[in-house]
Amino acid sequence: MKNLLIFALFLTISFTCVAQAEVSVITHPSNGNSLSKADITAIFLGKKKTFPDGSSAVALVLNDATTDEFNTKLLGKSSSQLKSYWSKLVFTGKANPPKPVSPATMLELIKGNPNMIGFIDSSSVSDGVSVAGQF
Amino acid sequence: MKKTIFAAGLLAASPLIAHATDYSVKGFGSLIGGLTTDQNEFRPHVKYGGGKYDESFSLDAESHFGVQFRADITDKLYANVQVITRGAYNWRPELPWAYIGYNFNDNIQLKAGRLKAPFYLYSDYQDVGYALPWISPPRNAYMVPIDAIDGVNVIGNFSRGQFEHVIEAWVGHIDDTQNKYEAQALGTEIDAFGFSYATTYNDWLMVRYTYNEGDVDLYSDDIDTIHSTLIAIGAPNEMIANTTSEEVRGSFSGLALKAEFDKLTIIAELNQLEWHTNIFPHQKRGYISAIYQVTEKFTPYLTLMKNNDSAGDLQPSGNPALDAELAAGFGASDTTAWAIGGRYELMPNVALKAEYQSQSSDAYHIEDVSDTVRVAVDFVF
Repeated sequence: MKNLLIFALFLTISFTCVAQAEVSVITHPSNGNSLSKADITAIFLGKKKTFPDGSSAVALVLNDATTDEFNTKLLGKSSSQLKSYWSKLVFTGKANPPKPVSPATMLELIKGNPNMIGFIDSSSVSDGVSVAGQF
Repeated sequence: MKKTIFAAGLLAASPLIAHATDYSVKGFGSLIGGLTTDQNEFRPHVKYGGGKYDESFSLDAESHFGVQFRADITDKLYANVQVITRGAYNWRPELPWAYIGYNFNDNIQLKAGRLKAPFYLYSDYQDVGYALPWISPPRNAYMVPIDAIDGVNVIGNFSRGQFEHVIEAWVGHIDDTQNKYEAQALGTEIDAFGFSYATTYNDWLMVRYTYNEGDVDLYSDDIDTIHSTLIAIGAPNEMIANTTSEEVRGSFSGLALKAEFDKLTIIAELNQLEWHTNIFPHQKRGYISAIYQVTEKFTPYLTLMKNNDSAGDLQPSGNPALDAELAAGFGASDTTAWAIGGRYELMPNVALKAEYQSQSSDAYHIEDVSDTVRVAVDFVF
């Protein structure tokens, strides 16, 4: 019985770990802005189109499950809530949602453009990008 | 202003200026069907005169589809054109939005072209069913028959502490003369202006106020006939003046509230349409809706609606038969309704909805009841 409990506990912990992989928000290394969680949220929800220093900010999202993770942890919205949120902005011409790209493209684009901001699974962070925050 | 709309359309559609311009095409639609469960007809919206439900199932009354073209010309300048086609208008295309927008910064935006007047809480995206908890906003309170303006608007937004403020001001011309040809609709040309102000506290409580005013020129055979009849029978001058078709001053104001709790959202609007020295009734209409998220996919709602329309400047004309007719057409009326419905997330971009609505009205001592069942598929792409 005790073993079973430990096993169940182990399962729970490992499951929790899988479900809560860490997400790193990444920018170009020359981007000197220090970004709060509120700044990041505002940029990814289309409320702000600039970094705190005034330079333009272009957000990118991933085309894999990391995006759901990011949406829940940072934006506090499920995918259908977010879809509904964006359809309000899109069909009133206020803003378009960030473009989804693959993890490899994400790293390439962030490395090449100081105006871009994205995120990636923390285990995939590579040289040439700087981490603005981990969530 | 027509030129601006044309220019906006050209910019959005032309592939010749594609250099750094970023294009996007997105769409939405709502396939809505319904019928009344009694012998009465139900008109879901004053705006779409031809759209109505009766005892046989109809998909034409409210179904509509839209496509939007957007061109980001620079990071500040963009053009946006939306085309909608509705069953209620025999699928004839309309342009609810066709404008050029300029974002001065994150706080101030300017738009010029074909825009929507910010009359209601859901003015901007009332056609995008997918973005709404209901099949349509409670349209008893969406009583202005027209809201497409050709003009300019400025939106400012700023935050202070826990408060987020949004101010929108507009001025423009409304030309609805094409509706002259629609069944039972009347043509109007309006020069108008208005503003709205909304403040949100801590992302959960929002209060919004709007005021709009305009001079309306009417093209209505009915009004013209009443006007000439009053002159012919020698009615008091004031009554004759109250049936003029030119520069009729009207105002629309609205107060809205939205409170978002953990799973529960409460939305209420109270809107008022008033006429200065005219026989048109004053309309005071509102609703309150409670929307509850049972699971991530299922959100039922309950809505209560009330219309309290009082008579305008109707005075005795000296002819009792005519007075009775005017009171029937322009007098006070009361309508109450309730609706129960829900939204189900079928896929990440498709929602299913169903609603039962029961409405009873009392106009000129004639009671009228209609019960309507509607189902909808809303999607975005």
